[in-house]
Amino acid sequence: METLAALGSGFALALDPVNLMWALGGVTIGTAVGVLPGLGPALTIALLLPITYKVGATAAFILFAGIYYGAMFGGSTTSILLNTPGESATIVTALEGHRMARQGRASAALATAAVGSFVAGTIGIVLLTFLAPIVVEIALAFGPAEYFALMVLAFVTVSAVLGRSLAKGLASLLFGIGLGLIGVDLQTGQARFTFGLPELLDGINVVVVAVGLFAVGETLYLALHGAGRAATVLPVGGRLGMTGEDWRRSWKPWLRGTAIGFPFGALPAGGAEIPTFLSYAVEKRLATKPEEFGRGAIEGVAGPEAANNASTAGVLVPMLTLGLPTSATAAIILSAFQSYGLNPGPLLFQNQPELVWTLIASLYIGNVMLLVLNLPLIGMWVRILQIPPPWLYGGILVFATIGAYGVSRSVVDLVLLYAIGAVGYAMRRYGYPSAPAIIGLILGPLAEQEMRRALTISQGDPAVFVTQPLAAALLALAALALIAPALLRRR
Amino acid sequence: MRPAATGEFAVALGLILAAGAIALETTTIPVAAVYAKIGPRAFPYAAALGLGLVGLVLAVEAWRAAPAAVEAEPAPSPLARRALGWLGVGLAANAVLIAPLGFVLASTALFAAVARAFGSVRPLRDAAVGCALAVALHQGFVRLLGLDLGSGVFARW
Repeated sequence: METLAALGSGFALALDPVNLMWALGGVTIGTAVGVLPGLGPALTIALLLPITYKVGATAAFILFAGIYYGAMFGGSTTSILLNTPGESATIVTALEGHRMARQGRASAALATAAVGSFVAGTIGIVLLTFLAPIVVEIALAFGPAEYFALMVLAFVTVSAVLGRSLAKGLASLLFGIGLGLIGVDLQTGQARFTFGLPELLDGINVVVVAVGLFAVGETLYLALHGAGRAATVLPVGGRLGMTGEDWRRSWKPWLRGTAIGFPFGALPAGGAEIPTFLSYAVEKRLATKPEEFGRGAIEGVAGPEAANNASTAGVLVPMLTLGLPTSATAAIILSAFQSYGLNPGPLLFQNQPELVWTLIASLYIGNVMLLVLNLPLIGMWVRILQIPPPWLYGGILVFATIGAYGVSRSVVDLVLLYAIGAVGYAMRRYGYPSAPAIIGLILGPLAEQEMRRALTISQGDPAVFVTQPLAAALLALAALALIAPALLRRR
Repeated sequence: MRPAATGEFAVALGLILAAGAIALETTTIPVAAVYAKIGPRAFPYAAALGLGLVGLVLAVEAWRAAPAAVEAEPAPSPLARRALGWLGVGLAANAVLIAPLGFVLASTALFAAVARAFGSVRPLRDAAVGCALAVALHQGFVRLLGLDLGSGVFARW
């Protein structure tokens, strides 16, 4: 009941016309960057981080959450019409969705993706609404040792889940943690890894790393490996929306996709990709006409699209209640909280209930807006897809310049951006995932802080991590996740 | 060793080198006696150790050219060298020009060079589009976000 009252007051604030404008802006930008291949929500939110100096926290987070959600809706449009996934979480959508589009059923595929995303997103937010206060109750009992153990567990699972090889995921994560070490040590005031450069005392800017890895690295890769050439955009011909049969075949996959996607996001493992693959496999097995799979089965669009939106909502649970980001976008949203001097976690719900509940209420509203933006207005997004690649990537690099140079006006940051871009290219070329690096960069310093707090309390005795039962259990889980894959392979 | 595996191996060696560099640099962080047990060195050492171990695993994998470690990447296209050249020109021009000439002109040069790298053959039209985009973004980010992108020549217009 308490939750409903809190949510109600959140709605009252979120329905304020100004906040509605922020939500609309967020979902519109989000859909646009979701549609455009090469731009993603993590990159976009990183570029917009300077807005935290200009507007209040509530407005900024409504905007960012709208972008986060909108990108998931927009990504499916690109998968279906272009056969190039707009987002990594919509790769599976392309399998059946693009086939449907080639048979002239593009509008049915787009509709089941949009309605499925809406259904899954809304259920996901309802689950978030009622699960978050429970997790907060539990998390209030956590001490530094528990937080440190939880972060270590997240480090391992994120590395395992977000890449194809655990070792490469860990390498990316540790690269990010290494970058995060640069700057003044908060506890002792000691400068670390600054190599005498005053520009590095504040640490490496999150924007520079995110934009370097995602925008510059990706552009280099596409330019050198011949991808990114113009592809044909299929027309959204035919009858708008779904037939009765389409609805009958879609609703169960939507619900199953939600059931698969939400827990994946909510556990400290994260990743919207794996649930989409799982959902696809489940739908293929349960289909009444399995022979249609590979030739444009609507279940293969409906399930995975629901799964990725549900996991998006799920990721917000550990992010808001524990301060534990498990996707690159969530990590960047966490750094936005930091720039307001706020720390997500159980105390955020106690100290800033207005902010939290307005944010959650705005998610419900944003979801409705997205349904409208993506069904009747689909033609607008199709036009965005027709931007020629030379202009698209030229524009992305101009945006990257703003991100790196606009914050500090220092050419050092621009050179750093290019250097990180070169690293990003190598990572892309050799199959290293880039999201763990962002998570390591932002979560690494927090993990160090918790570790040292725990050791200060125990007066330097490292046994604190194994004598506290919860911390020990979490660390054991992390060790298991680290070793299990190698053991399984050996059998 | 296959070419892709050579690259993999080089990246893994780079990781080991980076781990060594972190460890070496960590030894130079001064530690006050109060913090001796839980000072600013412990976490960097742990990160260096982890990175070194992971680098070692990846190096061994690449050396054996285990199929799982080698991605079936498309080889760089024949046009890649030319594309890399234009990208390099664009990024360098941007970094050199942005302070003296300002964001708009530097971005125009960057945009035109990148468009060229992606196969466009109409440099003047690209420059015009790039310039229009840069002016719009400059106005948008300066007005709405309050970013200071510098003025350069543009401010005097």
